This record gives sequence, C-alpha cells and structure tokens, in this order.
Amino acid sequence: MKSGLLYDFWRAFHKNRLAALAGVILLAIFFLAIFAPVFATHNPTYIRLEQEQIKLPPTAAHFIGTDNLGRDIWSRMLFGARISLLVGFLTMIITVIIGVAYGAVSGYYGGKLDFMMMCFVDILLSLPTIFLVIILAAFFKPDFFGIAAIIGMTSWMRTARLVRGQFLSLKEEEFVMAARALGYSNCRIIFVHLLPNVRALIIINATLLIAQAVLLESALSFLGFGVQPPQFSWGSMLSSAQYIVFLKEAPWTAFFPGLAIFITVLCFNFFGEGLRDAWDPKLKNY
Amino acid sequence: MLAEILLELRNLKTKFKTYDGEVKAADGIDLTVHKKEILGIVGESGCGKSATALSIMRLIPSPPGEVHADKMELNGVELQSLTEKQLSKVRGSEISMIFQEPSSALNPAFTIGEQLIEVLILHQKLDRGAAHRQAIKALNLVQIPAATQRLADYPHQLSGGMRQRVMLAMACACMPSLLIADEPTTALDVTVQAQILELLCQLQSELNIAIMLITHDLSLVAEIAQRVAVMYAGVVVENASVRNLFAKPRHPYTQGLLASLPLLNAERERLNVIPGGVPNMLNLPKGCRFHPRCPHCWQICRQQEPPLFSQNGSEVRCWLFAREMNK
Amino acid sequence: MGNRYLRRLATLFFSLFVISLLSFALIEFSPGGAMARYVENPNISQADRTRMAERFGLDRPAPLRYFIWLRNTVQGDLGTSFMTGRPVLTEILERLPATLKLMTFSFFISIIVAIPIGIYSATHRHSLFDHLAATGSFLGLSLPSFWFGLLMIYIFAIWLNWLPSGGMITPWFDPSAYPLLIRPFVIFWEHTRYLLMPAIVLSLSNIGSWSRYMRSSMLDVISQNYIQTARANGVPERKVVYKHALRNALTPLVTLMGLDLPGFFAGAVVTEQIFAWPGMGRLFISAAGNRDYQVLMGIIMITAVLVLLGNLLADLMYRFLDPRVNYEG
Ligand SMILES: Nc1ncnc2c1ncn2[C@@H]1O[C@H](COP(=O)(O)OP(=O)(O)OP(=O)(O)O)[C@@H](O)[C@H]1O
Ligand SMILES: [Mg+2]
Repeated sequence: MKSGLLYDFWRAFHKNRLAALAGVILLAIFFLAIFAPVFATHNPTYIRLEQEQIKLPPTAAHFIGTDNLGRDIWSRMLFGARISLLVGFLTMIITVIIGVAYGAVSGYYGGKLDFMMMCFVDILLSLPTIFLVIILAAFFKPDFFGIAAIIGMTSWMRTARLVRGQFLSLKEEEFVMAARALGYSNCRIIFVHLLPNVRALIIINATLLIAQAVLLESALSFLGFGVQPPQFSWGSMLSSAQYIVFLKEAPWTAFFPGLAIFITVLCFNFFGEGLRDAWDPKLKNY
Repeated sequence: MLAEILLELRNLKTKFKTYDGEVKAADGIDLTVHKKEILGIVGESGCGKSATALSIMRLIPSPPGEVHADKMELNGVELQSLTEKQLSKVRGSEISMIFQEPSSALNPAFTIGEQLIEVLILHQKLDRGAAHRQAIKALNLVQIPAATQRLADYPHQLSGGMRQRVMLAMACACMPSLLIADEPTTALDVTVQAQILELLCQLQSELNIAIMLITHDLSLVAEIAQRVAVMYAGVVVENASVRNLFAKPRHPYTQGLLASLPLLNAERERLNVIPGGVPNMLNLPKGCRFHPRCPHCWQICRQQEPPLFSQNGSEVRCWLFAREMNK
Repeated sequence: MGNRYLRRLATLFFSLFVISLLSFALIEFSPGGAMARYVENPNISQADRTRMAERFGLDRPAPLRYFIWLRNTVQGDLGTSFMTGRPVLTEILERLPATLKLMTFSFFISIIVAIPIGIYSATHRHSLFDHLAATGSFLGLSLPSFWFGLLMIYIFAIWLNWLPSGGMITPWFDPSAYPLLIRPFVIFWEHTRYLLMPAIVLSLSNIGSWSRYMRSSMLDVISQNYIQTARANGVPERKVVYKHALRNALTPLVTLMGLDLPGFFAGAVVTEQIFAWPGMGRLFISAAGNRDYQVLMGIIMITAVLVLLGNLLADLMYRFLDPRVNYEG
C-alpha cells in the first residue's frame, strides 16, 4: 500500500511539472530558513538609526534594502521565514490532530452524537474565526507557539467535516464489520483499520492547511496581533507599511516579505493540488 | 415489404479516446431503418448500442469521442454535413431520442410544461398560447391523465412511468420521423414497462413514426419490432426480420441469446447461458470478436474478421455462412 | 412547510446562544481582565480601578454577568463601550453601513467576474483560457490580501495617483458644486473611486474559489442526462448552457456563497484596516487592542446574526432554484 501511494505520487509529479516545481521551490525555502545564519548577510535585529542607514533601497551591501530601523531586509526575511513556516507547520499539526480526532469520533459513532458534534461545527463555522483569533492573540500576547495553537484551535472544523464524511461511509464497509465481529475495540478500529484509509486525504488537506495557516499568521502579524518583537515573521515585517508615508518612501520593505508569503503559499497550494491529482482523481475537477 | 428507406447508416465508426486506450464503441456498423417500422437493436451491456444511437443524433461528445461514417442519411440528408444550427432543427423535429433513466432525463429545475413548451416553440414557431394547447395535446397523446394540471408539475413530482411518458411526449410533440428509444423500459417495473411498450406501438401506428428500440431484452423485441439487429462488441452480427430471427437464428451469438430466454425454454431445467464474459472493448480478440465464446469456432474465425453475409433476406457476420454460400 | 422554518429559526437562536456563550467565556478567561490596560497607567490607582470595575459591574461573578448581558442584549442593549462611554449598539450601527457597502459592492464584483469565468472554463475545458483561469484562481487564493492591497495602493494611489489610498469619501466633497446634469455621475464616481480598491481586494479570494466552483458545478451538470435530453430535443447549445445547465449549476454555488460569508467578514477586517475604511472591522481591531469587551461581544453577535441571516437567505434562494428541496426533507 505504502509503495502504491509513493508510486502514484512519483508518477503524477513526473507529469505535473508545476506541482514538482512547487515542491522544489518549497525545499529551497526550507533550506534557506534552516540555514538562515549562513545566508544572512547582517544581524537581522541590529538596529541602526543613522539617517544614511534607514530605508535604504537595494544596494550591494543590502540586497533588498533596509527597513525603517536600518535593519537588513534580506537577513530579516531569512529569519522571518523560520517563524512563518514554523507557525504554518505547527498550526497544521494541531489542526490535523483536533480535526481528525473530532471527525473520526463523530463519523464513526454516528447517530445523535454525530448530529450534536456536527451542529457545533456548523455553529463555529458560521462565526468569522478571525474575530476569535484576534481576541485571543490580543489578550494573550502569545509567542509563535501560542499563535499556532490559537489558529489551530479555530480552524480544525473543515478538516473534521472532511474526515467525518469519509468515516461515515467507511464504517459501513465489510472489513469494519469483520473487525467488529472479531471484537476489536472501537479505538483500535478507528486508528488501526480506518485511519490509514483516509491517509491520502489527510495529507492533501494538511498541505493546504499549511498554506492557510501561513496566510492567517501573516495577516495577524500584519495587523499587529501576531508574534511580538523581538520575534518577527514575514507578516510583521509588512506591518509598518500600513502607513502610507512609509509605503511611499520604502516600498521594498513591504514588497519582498509579501512576495515571500505569496510564493510560499502558492507553492503549498500547488503542491497540495498535485497530491490531490496523484492520489484522489475523484476529487479532481475533471 | 419494400418500404422507403428512412435512415441509412454505412460503416459507422465511433471511437472514444481514453487514458487506457481507444475504445471502438462502434466499429463499422451498417443499419437501415425503413419508414414506419420498429427496428429492435439488441446486445449485451457495453456493446455500443447507446454509442450508435448517440452517433446518429450527433451527440457524441468530442473529445473524447470521434464519429465517422461513410454514410449517415436521414430522408436523404447527410447528417454529418449539417451545421450545429441545422442539427438542432433536425433534433427533436426529425429524429428524437428518449433515454433509459426517466428519473434524471428531465430537468429538475423546470416544470414539465416549461420543458414541453420550449421544444414546441423551438420547432413549430408557435406562440405561447398555441404551444400550451399543443403541449396538452401531446400529454393526452401519451395518455397522461389531467394533462393541464401536470404541466405545472416538476419532474420529481411524477412517477418513473409518468416521466417516461413525458419524455415520449416531448420527443413526439413535433412528429419526428424517427424515434430512438434507448432502453426506455429498463428502469421501470414490469407493469409500467408493458404500458410504455404499448404506447410505443401506438405512437408508431398513429403518428407513423419509425422507432429504433434499443434493448438487451430479446423478448421485448419479439413483442413489438418488425426487424432486429443484434450487436456484439461494436458490430452488427445479425440483421433479420423478427420472424426469421426467432424461427432460425443464424449467428451463434443470437442462438445463445435465444437459448437463454427464460420464456422459450421454460420446460428446461436451467437457463442456458453463453459461456464466457463480455469482451474487453479495449482489447478485442483477433479475428471474429465472438470466437472465444463461440461453440462453432474454427480456424479462420481466429484469424480473420468475417464480413456480413446475406442469406434469405438476413445478414449474418459469421464464417459459418461463408461455407454455406460457397457450397 | 411552516414547521421547517420555525425549526430553522429555533436553530438560529440556539446558534446565537452558543456563540455568545463561547465568546463570553473566551473573553472572560483571557488573562488580564478588562482593567488590564489601566494597570500600567500611573495616573490610575488600584482604588480607581476597583471603582471603575464596580461601575461597569465587573465585580460580579462571571455567570451572573453573562446572564445580565444576555438579558440586556435580548432587550436590544449591547452595553456601553469602555473606550467612548457610548452605547455599543450606536457605535456599531455607525460603522455597519460602511462595512455592508463594501461587502455588497465586493459581492457583486465577485459574482460578475467569477460566474462567467466558471461557465467559460467549463464549456471550453482544457482550452488556454481554462488553464489561465485555473492558474489565476490559484494566484488569487494564495495572494495575501494585505500585500495585494498595499501593492494596489502603491501603484494606483502613490505612483499613478488615480485613486485615493484610503477612506470612504472626501470630507469636503460637495455635490452641489457641480452642474445638475453631471451631478449623479460625480456622486457615483466619488463613491466608486474610494470603493474600488478595497472591494477588489476583498473580492479576490472569492473570485478564485467561486470561479473554480462554478466550473466544476457546471461540468457536473453538463454531464447530466437532462442536458442530453435538451440537446436531443434540439435545444440550441447556447440555451442548453445558459438556461438548462446554468440554473442547476447555480444551486450549489448559492450554498457555497452562504458558507463563505464568515470569510467575507474576516476579509473585511483586514481590508478595512489597509484602506482606512471606517467600518466594523476597524472598530473591532481597535476594540481588541483596548480590551473593550462590550464592543467585541457586540460585533461578534451582530456579525453572527448577519451571517446566520445570510445563510437563511441562501437557503431560501436554494429552494427557489431547486424545486426538489421543498418536497424531500
Ligand atoms: N464518453 C465515453 N468515454 C469513453 N468511453 C465511452 C464513453 N461512452 C461510452 N464509452 C464506451 O463505449 C462502449 C459502448 O458503450 P455504450 O454506452 O454504447 O454501451 P451500451 O451497449 O449502450 O450498453 P448498456 O446496455 O449498458 O447501455 C463501452 O465500452 C463504454 O465504456
Ligand atoms: Mg446504453
């Protein structure tokens, strides 16, 4: 089975150049983030307020210029990538854990419990979760892990729905009946027998979740509710560009971090789409 | 019986390009439909009956489909040369078609009346009032009770049999000369099946419509058709009048089909079933397509595809009859 | 029939109740409490804080306060803003029209752009346009809206100087200064030029997802039997697509639009912030920064009501488009 998934993956990405390219770019970004100290040309938090050091346009010394506090943007982007990606991955893990557990229980047990659990999901989905995220972020002033926890706790509902749908139909299959007849515990059936069947779906979903998390985190940091100084992410690097004067004088401070977010999110989306093509042709829009 | 020829189809080839390869749903089909007759087309599931019908309607989606025929003439008009605009004038007024699934064949978003009236206005250039009256007439024709009220109903409010009647009303509202009925009764229960068949016969005799009745049930054909074409894996293997076919089935496949009819051998212990399964349309056997399942298979059958041999007004695609001819 | 709507209404109120309980608890159990922002202010002593807390009723136990809040809210009193001392409802109602204006405009942009793209992609599957639309929708879904907004501001407001960078209307705008004949156009343009950029930014992700959805829904419908029937009866292709298929393809899209409403409000928060749009989203952000609990609760509740009503509307619309629904469930 495992080799089947991997084989499909390989075959599809051989054909789907765009998804493969997205994967390669993502690897490059991870690489740069992991080895940020190596590639950084300056200390990312070193502030120089001399007039000739702030808001420098791209020069030889500063690839893509400096920001309003004279910090090197290239170096900051490398280190900012760490937070952005870390939050993305952590959020994804939290979301998947909550969503899968919730959806699996709801779908597997079905009936009244399922009805109530899905009712709750529906209610949460009718609330713009960014409100809750902003409130929590504003009140708790969390670090990057806290941000991931907050975003994760407010965005698991769609994953839960997805998994629940699969479980609802899977549990009617014969092998589940057989497992029940053999007296396996529900817990074992859920995790050992059923979960592997939705593996592909979860991985696809997880990839897209990272994209969403990176976007949400950057928006949050942009609004000033995300990671707090001295920590910084791509989103918070754009924060000061909210002021028109600043945007006018040093557009590159906003341009490059935003571009990095855009490309990263785009690559995750393309990669997820490639996975979907490879593993779940049914889901493909023809 | 030398009735005028209504539809003449020569060497129809319909292919579908799929990921796994090319499916030849029709691989050189010859058919003739005379005016006012009922022609039955019989064959196993997947042998290309619907594909043939849709090719005649020019409704094969392309891609993946591809249709070519040496000749496809309706009333002397070559259908393949018509533009899309001319085609839509022909469809519904010269040839119409009804489908197997009455439950999904009507648009759920519009009432019966809206759908019927649309067709009438399209082809007969009537105004709304006249189209409305005409629609009621059409529903009466297919014996739908309380026609006026039914016009305001949505398809889901009708039973399967009623929906098929509505389909028939839409198809026959403009008096086409050919009606293609693709398994019109398969999805219905037995009593309703009989009613619909009776209705088909009636339409044929009252409106002088020729009907091409597609089915995999030979007994249906025996009841109402005049001639039968038996299809196997994309070709016509036997073409005969109903009387001839049932009296003396020639092709081994036809013989097998007849032998498996429960009615005719009720006294036997068990039904005869043709051994082997439906051939894989992606990978047809060399030579005669039927040879792996044929009890009379001999050498040439494995090597060369037989042509259609004529014999006493029947046409058979089988080497056995080459031998007889050569005698 | 009537019974179902009663049930829907009951569900709606139940949802509101759960949402209020949830938000209240969330705010309540957050660290610091309402007085946290005064702790660092040297001009306000501990005694002052206690007095203030008493005045706002913050010294009572939380369940009691929730109960009081609920009672007042049911009577249409959403409390008083800590920041301004004015009734929360007044504050919100001042801001709501701006948000609704932005959202409505953006909603129409999304529909007008997304639906034709979806239809054309579906009817010209695998064409160059289809591939471009697919790529475009991916770009749209991946663009950080605030970055896109800043780019637009830089290009159209700073560089080309065609559109204002933010705000909703020029404060000294006076339509009576223009001749009567062109006055309507001037007024229209005055509103549009402020609306254009924020509305486009807010539409972006909707256009991306709706056009994809429209495409797949259209493809789904086109493969249905009744489309084959329409063609077999000689209905011209244009009419098959724009009458028979579109009507059925729109149904699931309406549901999606209902489900996307919360996302729309979320997008408005960011968009309003970038373009200094004086709407509810901006109010929420400043309230969050200032721990203005009553305002936060008020905005959440008002938004929830709007979203749930929007869903109800989508449901009615669905029933209108798909007559089957009335008879089934
Ligand atoms: N759109 C399509 N794309 C690819 N292959 C197709 C398509 N339509 C039909 N086929 C193939 O063409 C062959 C003939 O199909 P067709 O529907 O004509 O069979 P049939 O005789 O009508 O069978 P049934 O009795 O089940 O209706 C089948 O092998 C089918 O898989
Ligand atoms: Mg068929």
